[in-house]
Amino acid sequence: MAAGDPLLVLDKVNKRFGGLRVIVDLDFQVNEEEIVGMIGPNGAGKTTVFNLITSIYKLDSGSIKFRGREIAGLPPHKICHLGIARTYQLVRAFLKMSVHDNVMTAAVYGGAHELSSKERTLSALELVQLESKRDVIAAHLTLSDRRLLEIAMGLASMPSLILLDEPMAGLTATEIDNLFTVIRATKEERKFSILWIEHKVDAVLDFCDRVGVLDYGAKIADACPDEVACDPKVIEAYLGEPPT
Amino acid sequence: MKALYRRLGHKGLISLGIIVAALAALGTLPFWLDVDASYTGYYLFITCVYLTVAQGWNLIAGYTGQISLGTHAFFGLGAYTMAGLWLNGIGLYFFFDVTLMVVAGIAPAIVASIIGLLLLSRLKGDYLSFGTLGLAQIVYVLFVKGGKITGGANGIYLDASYFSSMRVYYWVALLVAVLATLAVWLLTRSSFGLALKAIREDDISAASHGVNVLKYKVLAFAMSAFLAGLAGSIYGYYLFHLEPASVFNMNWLFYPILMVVLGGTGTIIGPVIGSLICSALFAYGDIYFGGYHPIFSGFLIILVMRFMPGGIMGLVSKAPALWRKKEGAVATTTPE
Ligand SMILES: Nc1ncnc2c1ncn2[C@@H]1O[C@H](COP(=O)(O)OP(=O)(O)OP(=O)(O)O)[C@@H](O)[C@H]1O
Ligand SMILES: [Mg+2]
Repeated sequence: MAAGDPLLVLDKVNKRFGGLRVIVDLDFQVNEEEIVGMIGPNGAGKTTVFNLITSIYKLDSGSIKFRGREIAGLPPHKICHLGIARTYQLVRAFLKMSVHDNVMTAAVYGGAHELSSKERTLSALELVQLESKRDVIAAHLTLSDRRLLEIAMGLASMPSLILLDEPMAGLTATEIDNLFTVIRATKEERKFSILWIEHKVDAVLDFCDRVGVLDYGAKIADACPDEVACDPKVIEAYLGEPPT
Repeated sequence: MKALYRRLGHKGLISLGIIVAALAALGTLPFWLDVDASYTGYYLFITCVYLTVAQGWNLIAGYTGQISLGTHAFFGLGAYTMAGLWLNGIGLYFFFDVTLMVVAGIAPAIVASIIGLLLLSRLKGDYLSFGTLGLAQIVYVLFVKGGKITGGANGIYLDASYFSSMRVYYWVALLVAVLATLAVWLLTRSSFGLALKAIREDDISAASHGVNVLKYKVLAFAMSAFLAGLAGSIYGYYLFHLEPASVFNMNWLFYPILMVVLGGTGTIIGPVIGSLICSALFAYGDIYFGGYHPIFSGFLIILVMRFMPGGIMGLVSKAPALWRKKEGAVATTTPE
Protein backbone atom coordinates (compact mmCIF):
# COMPACT_ATOMS: atom_id res chain seq x y z
CA MET A 1 0.00 0.00 0.00
CA ALA A 2 1.31 3.44 -0.84
CA ALA A 3 0.91 6.55 1.28
CA GLY A 4 -2.31 8.35 0.35
CA ASP A 5 -4.35 5.29 -0.66
CA PRO A 6 -7.69 5.05 1.13
CA LEU A 7 -7.39 2.96 4.31
CA LEU A 8 -10.59 3.47 6.27
CA VAL A 9 -13.77 4.57 4.50
CA LEU A 10 -17.04 5.32 6.30
CA ASP A 11 -20.00 5.59 3.96
CA LYS A 12 -23.42 7.00 5.01
CA VAL A 13 -23.05 5.67 8.55
CA ASN A 14 -26.05 6.11 10.86
CA LYS A 15 -26.46 5.37 14.54
CA ARG A 16 -29.31 6.17 16.89
CA PHE A 17 -29.82 5.55 20.59
CA GLY A 18 -33.56 5.25 21.12
CA GLY A 19 -35.02 8.36 19.46
CA LEU A 20 -31.71 10.20 19.46
CA ARG A 21 -29.84 10.31 16.14
CA VAL A 22 -26.24 10.37 17.25
CA ILE A 23 -24.50 9.83 13.90
CA VAL A 24 -26.21 11.13 10.79
CA ASP A 25 -25.23 9.99 7.28
CA LEU A 26 -21.56 10.25 8.08
CA ASP A 27 -19.00 9.93 5.28
CA PHE A 28 -15.42 9.91 6.44
CA GLN A 29 -12.09 8.74 5.16
CA VAL A 30 -8.59 8.14 6.47
CA ASN A 31 -5.77 7.43 4.02
CA GLU A 32 -2.55 5.45 4.44
CA GLU A 33 -0.03 7.24 6.67
CA GLU A 34 -2.34 10.21 7.12
CA ILE A 35 -2.96 11.99 10.43
CA VAL A 36 -6.58 13.03 10.60
CA GLY A 37 -8.08 15.08 13.40
CA MET A 38 -11.71 14.83 14.50
CA ILE A 39 -13.07 17.74 16.48
CA GLY A 40 -16.50 18.87 17.56
CA PRO A 41 -18.39 20.10 20.62
CA ASN A 42 -19.27 17.85 23.59
CA GLY A 43 -21.73 15.14 22.65
CA ALA A 44 -21.16 15.65 18.91
CA GLY A 45 -20.70 11.90 18.46
CA LYS A 46 -16.91 11.62 18.14
CA THR A 47 -16.45 8.75 20.58
CA THR A 48 -19.45 7.03 19.05
CA VAL A 49 -17.65 7.03 15.69
CA PHE A 50 -14.73 5.17 17.32
CA ASN A 51 -17.12 2.73 18.95
CA LEU A 52 -18.72 2.05 15.57
CA ILE A 53 -15.37 1.54 13.82
CA THR A 54 -14.21 -0.88 16.53
CA SER A 55 -17.59 -2.65 16.61
CA ILE A 56 -18.26 -1.85 20.27
CA TYR A 57 -21.56 -0.49 18.91
CA LYS A 58 -23.42 -1.89 15.90
CA LEU A 59 -24.27 0.66 13.24
CA ASP A 60 -27.86 1.03 12.06
CA SER A 61 -27.03 1.55 8.40
CA GLY A 62 -24.14 2.43 6.16
CA SER A 63 -20.80 0.78 5.61
CA ILE A 64 -17.33 0.86 7.11
CA LYS A 65 -14.55 -0.43 4.87
CA PHE A 66 -10.97 -1.07 5.93
CA ARG A 67 -8.55 -1.69 3.05
CA GLY A 68 -11.59 -2.20 0.86
CA ARG A 69 -13.06 -4.90 3.11
CA GLU A 70 -16.38 -4.41 4.90
CA ILE A 71 -15.71 -4.54 8.64
CA ALA A 72 -19.08 -3.45 10.06
CA GLY A 73 -20.51 -6.36 12.01
CA LEU A 74 -17.20 -8.11 12.67
CA PRO A 75 -16.53 -8.82 16.36
CA PRO A 76 -14.17 -6.29 18.05
CA HIS A 77 -11.23 -8.70 18.37
CA LYS A 78 -11.26 -9.39 14.61
CA ILE A 79 -11.11 -5.67 13.92
CA CYS A 80 -8.05 -5.46 16.13
CA HIS A 81 -6.46 -8.35 14.22
CA LEU A 82 -7.05 -6.53 10.93
CA GLY A 83 -4.89 -3.66 12.17
CA ILE A 84 -7.05 -1.10 13.94
CA ALA A 85 -5.96 -0.16 17.47
CA ARG A 86 -7.56 2.38 19.78
CA THR A 87 -7.28 4.22 23.07
CA TYR A 88 -10.21 5.23 25.25
CA GLN A 89 -11.28 8.68 26.40
CA LEU A 90 -11.52 7.31 29.96
CA VAL A 91 -8.45 5.09 30.07
CA ARG A 92 -9.35 1.40 30.00
CA ALA A 93 -6.03 -0.27 30.73
CA PHE A 94 -6.16 -3.42 32.88
CA LEU A 95 -5.69 -1.71 36.21
CA LYS A 96 -4.66 -4.62 38.43
CA MET A 97 -2.07 -5.87 35.97
CA SER A 98 1.49 -4.66 35.57
CA VAL A 99 2.49 -2.30 32.77
CA HIS A 100 4.35 -5.16 31.11
CA ASP A 101 1.39 -7.58 31.33
CA ASN A 102 -0.97 -4.95 29.92
CA VAL A 103 1.18 -4.50 26.82
CA MET A 104 1.96 -8.22 26.63
CA THR A 105 -1.77 -9.03 26.56
CA ALA A 106 -2.25 -6.68 23.63
CA ALA A 107 0.83 -8.17 21.92
CA VAL A 108 -0.15 -11.83 22.42
CA TYR A 109 -3.75 -11.37 21.31
CA GLY A 110 -3.24 -8.61 18.74
CA GLY A 111 -2.97 -11.02 15.82
CA ALA A 112 -0.11 -12.92 14.16
CA HIS A 113 3.02 -10.93 13.26
CA GLU A 114 6.59 -11.48 12.17
CA LEU A 115 7.99 -10.26 15.47
CA SER A 116 7.32 -12.32 18.58
CA SER A 117 4.94 -10.90 21.17
CA LYS A 118 7.89 -10.40 23.53
CA GLU A 119 9.73 -8.30 20.97
CA ARG A 120 6.61 -6.26 20.19
CA THR A 121 6.00 -5.64 23.89
CA LEU A 122 9.54 -4.41 24.41
CA SER A 123 9.53 -2.18 21.37
CA ALA A 124 6.14 -0.67 22.29
CA LEU A 125 7.32 0.05 25.84
CA GLU A 126 10.46 1.65 24.46
CA LEU A 127 8.55 3.83 22.03
CA VAL A 128 6.40 5.33 24.81
CA GLN A 129 9.34 5.37 27.26
CA LEU A 130 7.72 3.21 29.90
CA GLU A 131 10.39 0.44 30.08
CA SER A 132 11.52 1.61 33.51
CA LYS A 133 7.98 1.21 34.86
CA ARG A 134 7.33 -2.23 33.36
CA ASP A 135 6.66 -3.87 36.75
CA VAL A 136 4.41 -1.13 38.11
CA ILE A 137 0.72 -2.01 38.52
CA ALA A 138 -1.31 0.10 36.07
CA ALA A 139 -3.53 1.40 38.88
CA HIS A 140 -0.49 3.12 40.39
CA LEU A 141 0.40 5.10 37.25
CA THR A 142 -0.29 8.79 36.78
CA LEU A 143 -2.95 9.73 34.23
CA SER A 144 -0.27 10.74 31.77
CA ASP A 145 1.51 7.38 32.08
CA ARG A 146 -1.78 5.53 31.72
CA ARG A 147 -2.38 7.33 28.44
CA LEU A 148 1.12 6.33 27.30
CA LEU A 149 0.39 2.77 28.44
CA GLU A 150 -2.76 2.63 26.33
CA ILE A 151 -0.81 3.89 23.34
CA ALA A 152 1.80 1.18 23.94
CA MET A 153 -0.99 -1.41 24.10
CA GLY A 154 -2.25 -0.13 20.76
CA LEU A 155 1.23 -0.25 19.22
CA ALA A 156 1.83 -3.82 20.41
CA SER A 157 -0.58 -5.18 17.81
CA MET A 158 1.34 -3.43 14.99
CA PRO A 159 -1.71 -1.52 13.74
CA SER A 160 -1.90 0.31 10.44
CA LEU A 161 -4.48 2.67 11.94
CA ILE A 162 -4.56 3.93 15.49
CA LEU A 163 -7.57 5.73 16.95
CA LEU A 164 -6.76 8.18 19.75
CA ASP A 165 -9.67 9.46 21.84
CA GLU A 166 -8.66 12.74 23.50
CA PRO A 167 -5.22 11.58 24.61
CA MET A 168 -4.37 15.09 25.89
CA ALA A 169 -7.41 15.64 28.11
CA GLY A 170 -6.50 16.38 31.71
CA LEU A 171 -2.74 16.53 31.14
CA THR A 172 -0.39 19.36 32.15
CA ALA A 173 1.45 21.39 29.52
CA THR A 174 4.69 19.45 30.04
CA GLU A 175 2.89 16.12 29.83
CA ILE A 176 1.20 17.23 26.62
CA ASP A 177 4.58 18.17 25.16
CA ASN A 178 5.96 14.80 26.09
CA LEU A 179 2.98 12.97 24.58
CA PHE A 180 3.38 14.92 21.35
CA THR A 181 7.05 14.01 21.18
CA VAL A 182 6.27 10.34 21.75
CA ILE A 183 3.51 10.24 19.14
CA ARG A 184 5.64 12.10 16.60
CA ALA A 185 8.63 9.78 17.10
CA THR A 186 6.45 6.68 16.99
CA LYS A 187 4.69 7.81 13.85
CA GLU A 188 8.11 8.52 12.29
CA GLU A 189 9.19 4.94 12.97
CA ARG A 190 6.02 2.97 12.30
CA LYS A 191 4.28 4.87 9.46
CA PHE A 192 0.72 4.11 10.54
CA SER A 193 -2.31 6.36 10.11
CA ILE A 194 -3.84 8.22 13.02
CA LEU A 195 -7.42 9.28 13.60
CA TRP A 196 -7.28 11.68 16.48
CA ILE A 197 -10.18 13.06 18.53
CA GLU A 198 -9.24 16.14 20.45
CA HIS A 199 -10.93 18.88 22.38
CA LYS A 200 -7.94 21.19 22.41
CA VAL A 201 -8.44 22.37 18.86
CA ASP A 202 -5.16 24.23 18.49
CA ALA A 203 -3.19 21.11 19.39
CA VAL A 204 -4.82 19.11 16.63
CA LEU A 205 -4.64 21.85 14.06
CA ASP A 206 -0.86 21.96 14.33
CA PHE A 207 -0.38 18.27 14.02
CA CYS A 208 -2.88 16.96 11.48
CA ASP A 209 -2.87 16.67 7.71
CA ARG A 210 -6.62 17.04 7.65
CA VAL A 211 -9.41 17.77 10.14
CA GLY A 212 -13.04 16.66 10.18
CA VAL A 213 -15.59 18.52 12.26
CA LEU A 214 -18.64 16.83 13.76
CA ASP A 215 -21.68 18.65 15.08
CA TYR A 216 -24.81 16.81 16.22
CA GLY A 217 -23.52 13.68 14.53
CA ALA A 218 -23.13 15.25 11.10
CA LYS A 219 -19.92 16.27 9.39
CA ILE A 220 -19.90 20.02 8.93
CA ALA A 221 -16.36 20.42 7.62
CA ASP A 222 -13.52 18.25 6.33
CA ALA A 223 -10.45 20.02 5.04
CA CYS A 224 -6.88 21.00 5.81
CA PRO A 225 -6.44 22.59 9.26
CA ASP A 226 -6.09 26.20 8.08
CA GLU A 227 -9.29 26.05 6.08
CA VAL A 228 -11.24 24.45 8.93
CA ALA A 229 -10.04 27.05 11.41
CA CYS A 230 -11.67 29.87 9.49
CA ASP A 231 -14.79 28.02 8.34
CA PRO A 232 -17.80 30.01 9.60
CA LYS A 233 -19.86 26.83 10.22
CA VAL A 234 -17.12 25.50 12.49
CA ILE A 235 -16.83 28.73 14.40
CA GLU A 236 -20.60 28.74 14.86
CA ALA A 237 -20.59 25.16 16.16
CA TYR A 238 -17.97 26.03 18.72
CA LEU A 239 -19.25 29.45 19.77
CA GLY A 240 -22.93 28.64 19.41
CA GLU A 241 -23.76 31.71 17.34
CA PRO A 242 -23.13 32.84 13.78
CA PRO A 243 -19.92 34.84 13.36
CA THR A 244 -20.49 38.46 12.60
CA MET B 1 20.93 -25.32 42.83
CA LYS B 2 22.57 -22.08 41.71
CA ALA B 3 20.51 -21.99 38.53
CA LEU B 4 17.38 -22.57 40.61
CA TYR B 5 18.34 -19.70 42.90
CA ARG B 6 18.85 -17.40 39.96
CA ARG B 7 15.44 -18.31 38.58
CA LEU B 8 13.43 -18.14 41.78
CA GLY B 9 15.33 -15.69 43.95
CA HIS B 10 15.47 -15.78 47.72
CA LYS B 11 11.71 -15.70 48.39
CA GLY B 12 10.90 -18.15 45.62
CA LEU B 13 13.37 -20.68 46.95
CA ILE B 14 11.90 -20.45 50.46
CA SER B 15 8.36 -20.89 49.06
CA LEU B 16 9.51 -23.87 47.02
CA GLY B 17 11.12 -25.39 50.13
CA ILE B 18 7.94 -24.95 52.17
CA ILE B 19 5.79 -26.45 49.39
CA VAL B 20 8.08 -29.48 48.96
CA ALA B 21 8.21 -30.05 52.74
CA ALA B 22 4.42 -29.72 53.10
CA LEU B 23 3.79 -32.10 50.18
CA ALA B 24 6.26 -34.63 51.55
CA ALA B 25 4.60 -34.46 54.98
CA LEU B 26 1.08 -34.73 53.53
CA GLY B 27 2.02 -37.43 51.05
CA THR B 28 3.54 -39.69 53.72
CA LEU B 29 0.93 -38.87 56.36
CA PRO B 30 -0.89 -42.25 56.21
CA PHE B 31 2.40 -43.99 57.14
CA TRP B 32 2.72 -42.23 60.47
CA LEU B 33 -0.91 -41.43 61.24
CA ASP B 34 -3.82 -43.84 61.12
CA VAL B 35 -6.11 -41.97 58.72
CA ASP B 36 -8.95 -44.44 59.40
CA ALA B 37 -8.97 -44.00 63.16
CA SER B 38 -8.13 -40.30 63.29
CA TYR B 39 -10.58 -37.59 62.22
CA THR B 40 -7.61 -35.86 60.56
CA GLY B 41 -7.81 -38.38 57.72
CA TYR B 42 -11.38 -37.46 56.84
CA TYR B 43 -10.71 -33.78 57.46
CA LEU B 44 -7.84 -33.65 54.98
CA PHE B 45 -9.74 -35.80 52.47
CA ILE B 46 -12.77 -33.52 52.44
CA THR B 47 -10.54 -30.41 52.45
CA CYS B 48 -8.85 -31.68 49.27
CA VAL B 49 -12.22 -32.38 47.60
CA TYR B 50 -13.33 -28.83 48.46
CA LEU B 51 -10.02 -27.36 47.38
CA THR B 52 -10.33 -28.92 43.91
CA VAL B 53 -13.78 -27.34 43.48
CA ALA B 54 -12.53 -24.08 44.99
CA GLN B 55 -9.61 -23.76 42.54
CA GLY B 56 -12.09 -24.24 39.70
CA TRP B 57 -14.30 -21.46 41.01
CA ASN B 58 -11.19 -19.37 41.56
CA LEU B 59 -10.34 -19.74 37.86
CA ILE B 60 -13.70 -18.57 36.53
CA ALA B 61 -14.58 -16.05 39.26
CA GLY B 62 -11.26 -15.01 40.78
CA TYR B 63 -9.18 -14.76 37.62
CA THR B 64 -11.83 -14.25 34.92
CA GLY B 65 -14.31 -12.22 36.99
CA GLN B 66 -17.39 -14.25 36.00
CA ILE B 67 -19.30 -15.07 39.18
CA SER B 68 -20.82 -18.46 38.40
CA LEU B 69 -23.29 -19.94 40.87
CA GLY B 70 -23.67 -23.31 39.14
CA THR B 71 -20.78 -25.21 40.73
CA HIS B 72 -22.94 -27.70 42.62
CA ALA B 73 -24.57 -28.83 39.37
CA PHE B 74 -21.18 -29.68 37.86
CA PHE B 75 -20.11 -31.41 41.07
CA GLY B 76 -23.26 -33.57 41.08
CA LEU B 77 -23.00 -34.25 37.34
CA GLY B 78 -19.46 -35.49 37.89
CA ALA B 79 -20.54 -37.82 40.69
CA TYR B 80 -23.48 -39.19 38.68
CA THR B 81 -21.38 -39.59 35.53
CA MET B 82 -18.87 -41.71 37.41
CA ALA B 83 -21.60 -43.80 39.05
CA GLY B 84 -23.60 -44.22 35.84
CA LEU B 85 -20.57 -45.42 33.89
CA TRP B 86 -19.55 -47.78 36.68
CA LEU B 87 -23.01 -49.33 36.93
CA ASN B 88 -23.10 -49.83 33.19
CA GLY B 89 -19.74 -51.51 33.19
CA ILE B 90 -17.92 -48.83 31.23
CA GLY B 91 -14.32 -48.36 32.36
CA LEU B 92 -11.51 -50.60 33.46
CA TYR B 93 -11.45 -50.95 37.23
CA PHE B 94 -14.45 -48.80 38.17
CA PHE B 95 -13.10 -48.04 41.66
CA PHE B 96 -10.91 -44.94 41.33
CA ASP B 97 -10.63 -45.63 37.64
CA VAL B 98 -8.72 -42.74 36.07
CA THR B 99 -10.68 -42.87 32.80
CA LEU B 100 -13.99 -42.75 34.66
CA MET B 101 -12.81 -39.81 36.72
CA VAL B 102 -11.61 -37.90 33.67
CA VAL B 103 -14.90 -38.54 31.87
CA ALA B 104 -16.69 -37.42 35.06
CA GLY B 105 -14.86 -34.11 34.59
CA ILE B 106 -15.42 -33.89 30.84
CA ALA B 107 -19.19 -34.42 30.98
CA PRO B 108 -19.88 -31.33 33.15
CA ALA B 109 -17.27 -29.43 31.13
CA ILE B 110 -19.31 -30.10 27.98
CA VAL B 111 -22.51 -29.01 29.73
CA ALA B 112 -20.67 -25.89 30.94
CA SER B 113 -19.52 -25.10 27.39
CA ILE B 114 -23.10 -25.24 26.12
CA ILE B 115 -24.42 -23.19 29.05
CA GLY B 116 -21.46 -20.86 28.61
CA LEU B 117 -22.14 -20.23 24.93
CA LEU B 118 -25.76 -19.43 25.79
CA LEU B 119 -25.25 -17.37 28.95
CA LEU B 120 -21.75 -15.88 28.85
CA SER B 121 -22.41 -14.26 25.49
CA ARG B 122 -25.55 -12.54 26.78
CA LEU B 123 -25.31 -12.08 30.53
CA LYS B 124 -22.91 -10.23 32.77
CA GLY B 125 -22.60 -9.59 36.48
CA ASP B 126 -25.59 -10.45 38.67
CA TYR B 127 -27.60 -11.69 35.69
CA LEU B 128 -24.95 -14.24 34.87
CA SER B 129 -24.86 -15.36 38.51
CA PHE B 130 -28.63 -15.84 38.66
CA GLY B 131 -28.67 -17.48 35.23
CA THR B 132 -26.12 -20.11 36.25
CA LEU B 133 -27.89 -20.67 39.58
CA GLY B 134 -31.21 -21.14 37.81
CA LEU B 135 -29.77 -23.66 35.35
CA ALA B 136 -28.08 -25.53 38.20
CA GLN B 137 -31.41 -25.88 39.99
CA ILE B 138 -32.97 -27.18 36.78
CA VAL B 139 -30.27 -29.87 36.57
CA TYR B 140 -30.96 -30.78 40.20
CA VAL B 141 -34.69 -31.14 39.56
CA LEU B 142 -34.04 -33.23 36.43
CA PHE B 143 -32.09 -35.70 38.56
CA VAL B 144 -34.76 -35.80 41.27
CA LYS B 145 -37.46 -36.40 38.64
CA GLY B 146 -35.28 -38.61 36.48
CA GLY B 147 -37.17 -41.80 37.35
CA LYS B 148 -35.35 -45.03 36.51
CA ILE B 149 -32.53 -43.30 34.64
CA THR B 150 -31.23 -41.33 37.63
CA GLY B 151 -32.81 -43.29 40.44
CA GLY B 152 -34.97 -40.29 41.35
CA ALA B 153 -34.76 -38.77 44.80
CA ASN B 154 -33.43 -42.04 46.25
CA GLY B 155 -30.47 -41.93 43.94
CA ILE B 156 -28.25 -44.86 43.00
CA TYR B 157 -26.21 -47.38 44.95
CA LEU B 158 -22.68 -48.50 44.15
CA ASP B 159 -20.93 -51.60 45.47
CA ALA B 160 -19.71 -50.45 48.90
CA SER B 161 -17.70 -53.60 49.48
CA TYR B 162 -14.90 -51.87 47.60
CA PHE B 163 -14.22 -49.74 50.63
CA SER B 164 -11.15 -50.94 52.46
CA SER B 165 -9.44 -47.92 53.98
CA MET B 166 -9.47 -44.10 54.00
CA ARG B 167 -5.87 -44.24 52.78
CA VAL B 168 -6.65 -44.55 49.09
CA TYR B 169 -9.29 -41.79 49.38
CA TYR B 170 -6.83 -39.55 51.09
CA TRP B 171 -4.12 -40.07 48.50
CA VAL B 172 -6.38 -39.69 45.47
CA ALA B 173 -8.01 -36.52 46.83
CA LEU B 174 -4.63 -35.06 47.77
CA LEU B 175 -3.12 -35.82 44.37
CA VAL B 176 -6.10 -34.35 42.51
CA ALA B 177 -6.14 -31.20 44.69
CA VAL B 178 -2.41 -30.68 44.16
CA LEU B 179 -2.72 -31.21 40.41
CA ALA B 180 -5.74 -28.88 40.24
CA THR B 181 -3.85 -26.17 42.12
CA LEU B 182 -0.79 -26.65 39.95
CA ALA B 183 -2.88 -26.57 36.76
CA VAL B 184 -4.66 -23.36 37.74
CA TRP B 185 -1.33 -21.81 38.74
CA LEU B 186 0.31 -22.69 35.42
CA LEU B 187 -2.73 -21.57 33.42
CA THR B 188 -2.91 -18.20 35.12
CA ARG B 189 0.79 -17.56 34.58
CA SER B 190 0.61 -18.38 30.88
CA SER B 191 -0.66 -16.14 28.11
CA PHE B 192 -4.04 -17.83 28.63
CA GLY B 193 -4.02 -16.25 32.09
CA LEU B 194 -3.34 -12.82 30.57
CA ALA B 195 -6.57 -13.13 28.57
CA LEU B 196 -8.56 -14.19 31.65
CA LYS B 197 -7.25 -11.34 33.79
CA ALA B 198 -7.79 -8.83 30.99
CA ILE B 199 -11.42 -9.99 30.73
CA ARG B 200 -11.81 -9.65 34.49
CA GLU B 201 -10.42 -6.11 34.41
CA ASP B 202 -12.39 -4.86 31.41
CA ASP B 203 -13.94 -7.17 28.85
CA ILE B 204 -14.69 -4.46 26.28
CA SER B 205 -11.13 -3.22 26.39
CA ALA B 206 -9.88 -6.82 26.21
CA ALA B 207 -11.97 -7.38 23.07
CA SER B 208 -10.65 -4.28 21.37
CA HIS B 209 -7.11 -5.47 22.13
CA GLY B 210 -7.79 -8.67 20.23
CA VAL B 211 -8.97 -11.08 22.93
CA ASN B 212 -11.81 -13.36 21.81
CA VAL B 213 -13.70 -12.73 25.03
CA LEU B 214 -16.45 -15.34 24.66
CA LYS B 215 -13.97 -18.09 23.79
CA TYR B 216 -11.83 -17.50 26.87
CA LYS B 217 -14.82 -17.09 29.18
CA VAL B 218 -16.26 -20.40 27.96
CA LEU B 219 -12.89 -22.15 28.25
CA ALA B 220 -12.41 -20.95 31.84
CA PHE B 221 -15.99 -21.93 32.67
CA ALA B 222 -15.53 -25.40 31.17
CA MET B 223 -12.28 -25.92 33.07
CA SER B 224 -13.87 -24.91 36.34
CA ALA B 225 -16.70 -27.36 35.63
CA PHE B 226 -14.14 -30.04 34.86
CA LEU B 227 -12.53 -29.62 38.28
CA ALA B 228 -15.92 -29.62 40.03
CA GLY B 229 -16.91 -32.82 38.20
CA LEU B 230 -13.61 -34.49 39.01
CA ALA B 231 -14.06 -33.66 42.70
CA GLY B 232 -17.65 -34.90 42.47
CA SER B 233 -16.47 -38.28 41.19
CA ILE B 234 -14.10 -38.66 44.17
CA TYR B 235 -16.86 -37.78 46.59
CA GLY B 236 -19.15 -40.22 44.78
CA TYR B 237 -16.64 -43.00 45.40
CA TYR B 238 -16.73 -42.08 49.07
CA LEU B 239 -20.52 -41.99 49.35
CA PHE B 240 -21.34 -45.19 47.40
CA HIS B 241 -24.96 -44.05 47.72
CA LEU B 242 -25.53 -41.04 45.48
CA GLU B 243 -28.69 -39.00 45.92
CA PRO B 244 -29.47 -35.59 44.43
CA ALA B 245 -29.84 -34.01 47.86
CA SER B 246 -26.25 -34.84 48.76
CA VAL B 247 -24.24 -34.40 45.55
CA PHE B 248 -26.26 -31.43 44.25
CA ASN B 249 -26.26 -29.86 47.71
CA MET B 250 -25.81 -26.08 47.68
CA ASN B 251 -22.91 -26.55 50.09
CA TRP B 252 -20.87 -27.62 47.07
CA LEU B 253 -21.56 -24.13 45.75
CA PHE B 254 -21.22 -21.94 48.83
CA TYR B 255 -18.41 -23.58 50.77
CA PRO B 256 -15.85 -23.43 47.95
CA ILE B 257 -16.81 -19.77 47.38
CA LEU B 258 -16.30 -19.04 51.06
CA MET B 259 -12.93 -20.78 50.95
CA VAL B 260 -11.76 -18.75 47.96
CA VAL B 261 -13.07 -15.45 49.33
CA LEU B 262 -11.64 -16.04 52.79
CA GLY B 263 -8.25 -17.06 51.46
CA GLY B 264 -8.01 -14.45 48.73
CA THR B 265 -9.86 -14.35 45.39
CA GLY B 266 -7.62 -14.52 42.35
CA THR B 267 -4.59 -15.82 44.25
CA ILE B 268 -3.30 -19.38 44.09
CA ILE B 269 -2.45 -19.95 47.77
CA GLY B 270 -5.59 -18.20 49.06
CA PRO B 271 -7.97 -21.12 48.31
CA VAL B 272 -5.52 -23.55 49.94
CA ILE B 273 -5.47 -21.59 53.20
CA GLY B 274 -9.19 -20.87 52.94
CA SER B 275 -10.15 -24.51 52.48
CA LEU B 276 -7.97 -25.69 55.40
CA ILE B 277 -9.54 -23.09 57.71
CA CYS B 278 -13.14 -23.46 56.50
CA SER B 279 -13.18 -27.27 56.63
CA ALA B 280 -11.98 -27.08 60.22
CA LEU B 281 -14.61 -24.47 61.05
CA PHE B 282 -17.37 -26.56 59.47
CA ALA B 283 -16.21 -29.68 61.29
CA TYR B 284 -16.27 -27.92 64.67
CA GLY B 285 -19.44 -26.08 63.71
CA ASP B 286 -21.10 -29.45 63.12
CA ILE B 287 -19.93 -30.76 66.46
CA TYR B 288 -20.83 -27.72 68.56
CA PHE B 289 -23.72 -26.13 66.69
CA GLY B 290 -25.20 -29.16 64.94
CA GLY B 291 -27.88 -28.26 62.42
CA TYR B 292 -27.34 -24.55 63.00
CA HIS B 293 -23.89 -24.43 61.56
CA PRO B 294 -24.93 -23.19 58.08
CA ILE B 295 -26.10 -20.00 59.85
CA PHE B 296 -22.68 -19.73 61.33
CA SER B 297 -21.04 -20.21 57.88
CA GLY B 298 -23.35 -17.67 56.28
CA PHE B 299 -22.43 -15.19 58.97
CA LEU B 300 -18.76 -15.85 58.27
CA ILE B 301 -19.23 -15.13 54.53
CA ILE B 302 -20.83 -11.77 55.34
CA LEU B 303 -18.09 -10.85 57.81
CA VAL B 304 -15.29 -11.70 55.38
CA MET B 305 -16.88 -9.82 52.46
CA ARG B 306 -17.47 -6.79 54.66
CA PHE B 307 -14.17 -6.54 56.49
CA MET B 308 -11.55 -8.23 54.33
CA PRO B 309 -12.63 -8.32 50.68
CA GLY B 310 -9.09 -9.26 49.67
CA GLY B 311 -9.14 -12.29 51.99
CA ILE B 312 -6.18 -13.49 53.98
CA MET B 313 -3.82 -13.10 51.00
CA GLY B 314 -5.07 -9.53 50.63
CA LEU B 315 -4.03 -8.81 54.20
CA VAL B 316 -0.68 -10.52 53.66
CA SER B 317 0.07 -8.48 50.54
CA LYS B 318 -1.03 -5.29 52.24
CA ALA B 319 1.32 -5.77 55.17
CA PRO B 320 4.52 -4.81 53.31
CA ALA B 321 2.73 -1.86 51.71
CA LEU B 322 1.71 -0.55 55.13
CA TRP B 323 5.25 -1.03 56.26
CA ARG B 324 6.61 0.89 53.29
CA LYS B 325 4.08 3.66 53.77
CA LYS B 326 5.67 4.27 57.13
CA GLU B 327 8.95 4.80 55.35
CA GLY B 328 7.28 7.17 52.92
CA ALA B 329 7.59 5.08 49.74
CA VAL B 330 4.86 4.15 47.28
CA ALA B 331 3.59 0.58 47.11
CA THR B 332 3.79 -0.99 43.70
CA THR B 333 2.52 -4.49 44.33
CA THR B 334 -0.95 -5.95 44.69
CA PRO B 335 -2.04 -9.57 44.39
CA GLU B 336 -2.41 -10.82 40.86
N1 LIG C 1 -24.39 3.90 24.86
C1 LIG C 1 -25.11 5.03 24.68
N2 LIG C 1 -26.42 5.05 24.96
C2 LIG C 1 -27.15 6.16 24.80
N3 LIG C 1 -26.66 7.32 24.36
C3 LIG C 1 -25.35 7.37 24.06
C4 LIG C 1 -24.50 6.24 24.22
N4 LIG C 1 -23.25 6.58 23.84
C5 LIG C 1 -23.31 7.86 23.48
N5 LIG C 1 -24.57 8.35 23.60
C6 LIG C 1 -24.99 9.71 23.27
O1 LIG C 1 -24.51 10.01 22.00
C7 LIG C 1 -24.12 11.36 21.93
C8 LIG C 1 -22.70 11.43 21.42
O2 LIG C 1 -21.84 10.90 22.42
P1 LIG C 1 -20.28 10.79 22.21
O3 LIG C 1 -19.71 10.19 23.44
O4 LIG C 1 -20.02 10.10 20.93
O5 LIG C 1 -19.85 12.31 22.11
P2 LIG C 1 -18.41 12.93 21.98
O6 LIG C 1 -18.40 13.74 20.74
O7 LIG C 1 -17.39 11.91 22.14
O8 LIG C 1 -18.41 13.93 23.24
P3 LIG C 1 -17.22 14.34 24.23
O9 LIG C 1 -16.47 15.41 23.55
O10 LIG C 1 -17.95 14.83 25.42
O11 LIG C 1 -16.44 13.11 24.49
C9 LIG C 1 -24.32 11.96 23.31
O12 LIG C 1 -25.55 12.64 23.30
C10 LIG C 1 -24.39 10.75 24.19
O13 LIG C 1 -25.21 10.99 25.30
MG1 LIG D 1 -15.94 11.47 23.50
